[in-house]
Amino acid sequence: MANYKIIFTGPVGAGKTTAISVLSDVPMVATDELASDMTKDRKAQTTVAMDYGIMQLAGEERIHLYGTPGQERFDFMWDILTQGGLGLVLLIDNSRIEPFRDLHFFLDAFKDFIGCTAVSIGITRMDEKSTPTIGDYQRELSALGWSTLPLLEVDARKKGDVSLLVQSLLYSLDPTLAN
Amino acid sequence: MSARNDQKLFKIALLGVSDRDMAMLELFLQRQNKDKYTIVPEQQAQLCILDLDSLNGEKLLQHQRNHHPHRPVLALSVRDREIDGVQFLRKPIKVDLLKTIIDFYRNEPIHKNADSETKTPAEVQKVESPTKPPVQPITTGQPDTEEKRIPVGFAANDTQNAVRNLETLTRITHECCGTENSADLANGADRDKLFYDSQNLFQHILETAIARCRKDAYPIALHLPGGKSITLLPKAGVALTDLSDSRLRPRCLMAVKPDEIRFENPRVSETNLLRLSKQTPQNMDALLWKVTLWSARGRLPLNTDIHAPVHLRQWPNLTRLLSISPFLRIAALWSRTPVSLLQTVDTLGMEARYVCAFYSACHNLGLVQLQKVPGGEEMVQMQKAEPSRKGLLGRILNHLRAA
Repeated sequence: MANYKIIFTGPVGAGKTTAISVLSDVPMVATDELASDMTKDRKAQTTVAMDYGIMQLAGEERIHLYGTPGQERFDFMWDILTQGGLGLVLLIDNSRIEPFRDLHFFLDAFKDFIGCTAVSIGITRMDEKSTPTIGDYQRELSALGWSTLPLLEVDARKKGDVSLLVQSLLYSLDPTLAN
Repeated sequence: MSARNDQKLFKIALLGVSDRDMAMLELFLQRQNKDKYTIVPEQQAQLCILDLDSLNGEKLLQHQRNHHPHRPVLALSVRDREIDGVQFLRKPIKVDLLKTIIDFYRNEPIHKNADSETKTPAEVQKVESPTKPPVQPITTGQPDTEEKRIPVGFAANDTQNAVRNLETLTRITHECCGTENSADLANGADRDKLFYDSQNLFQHILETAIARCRKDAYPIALHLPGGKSITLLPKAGVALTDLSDSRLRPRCLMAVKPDEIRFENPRVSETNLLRLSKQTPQNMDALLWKVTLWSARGRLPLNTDIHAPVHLRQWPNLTRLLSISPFLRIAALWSRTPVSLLQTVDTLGMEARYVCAFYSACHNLGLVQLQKVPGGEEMVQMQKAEPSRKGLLGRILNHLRAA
């Protein structure tokens, strides 16, 4: 049986667990625990190991969807999680105080993985806080030298949004896919 | 006709259809491909096309649902209808859409279930053998490939949803990218089909108004004939309008007469306009994007150099814009490396109308730039996924699209 994986990452509360759950064909395995640190200001529960879902393709093929724990103190797991991954979906919570800092942090933390695969960035919670705008993010990415990464506004609860974000990742890996 | 050929034919029954319409439908199917479809009595059908407006249309539909729950029904009606599990096609029927839907069912494994209702056990076993026929993509206007097919094992409800999505997608594609016979980039004589001039179109007026309200940082109201208006709010970056898309779309294709649309600076502040309005605000860029698509309909702005490499400055926010799947592929290609319009068509193997439509919309939002390359265009050597990986990525795409 062939097994592959797509990694979802981003800060606490960005919607990784939700995004995986809307794509997963099986009930998702979440490792959420009651938050006991500053995370509790953002959400009652937080992921301490990883979220895990499956996209069941035709036949026996499966795509594993792994969500990294949002808290940076669990970053020792990230290298393990990305081993053999097809690509990275980065979700940034626009309602956080310093979303650009999150953007820098995660692009830097996964730069080796992104370098040999691809990344698509979804900005979440723009309905709660409209600034920075998508244009602001584009300028920030350009300043970092990542000007042409797929960058989309996403509602992690909407399957269509998450699906389009993952499709942009796949086409970034190979735009000629449908040929 | 031989028995062997008969097995390959997709069997269609016409129910509640007048003699004249039946003759027309038969002729239509024969013209499409007489070796693919055949009209049969209701008992043998794999698909029923049913005229719901006929005297006994409702009864015929009920009979199908009671006695052949797995057999797909394509109901024709002058009214929009929503009945669970039934695919509707509104009259007057657009032949390309009818053909697309029939082909979808013809290649969709669900019709095997319907077929099995009238088959012997031996034949049923044969149908269920692992060698399944290819199934159709849910995207339109692109060549059939294995990578775009709907996964085998598609459930009945999914099929209905897919057909409904297909119908919507086909409609949107036509509205945004024109018809299949539109622009051919390689044919210089096709200039009229390839380019359009927005100077006399509503698109130009909207562009001008958006640029002006942004420059002045003050709202502008556009008053259109018929008492409709569009108010642009630059600080919020949104537009308020009582004009529905179905009314705005045809307006995009008509030449605008001088003074037909009046500009006005509202006396009410932007904050109050937003607060007092009962209309749902829509993003100003999203409005300009769709107006451009509806105006261009798969053509390019006049004098666009089709040989100059296109540089994508940034990805369009496609989750919040009117979009079809080819746009993602083009954005992904242009974000990797500047590629000319001509070469984009060639590299992606897609119809020029998609590339032209996407370019026109991106161009109007300032998301792309044509580069000047002395010595003409160079062939792009693009890194592609290994064949095995490519197949896998294609299967994931199919899964995401089918869901």
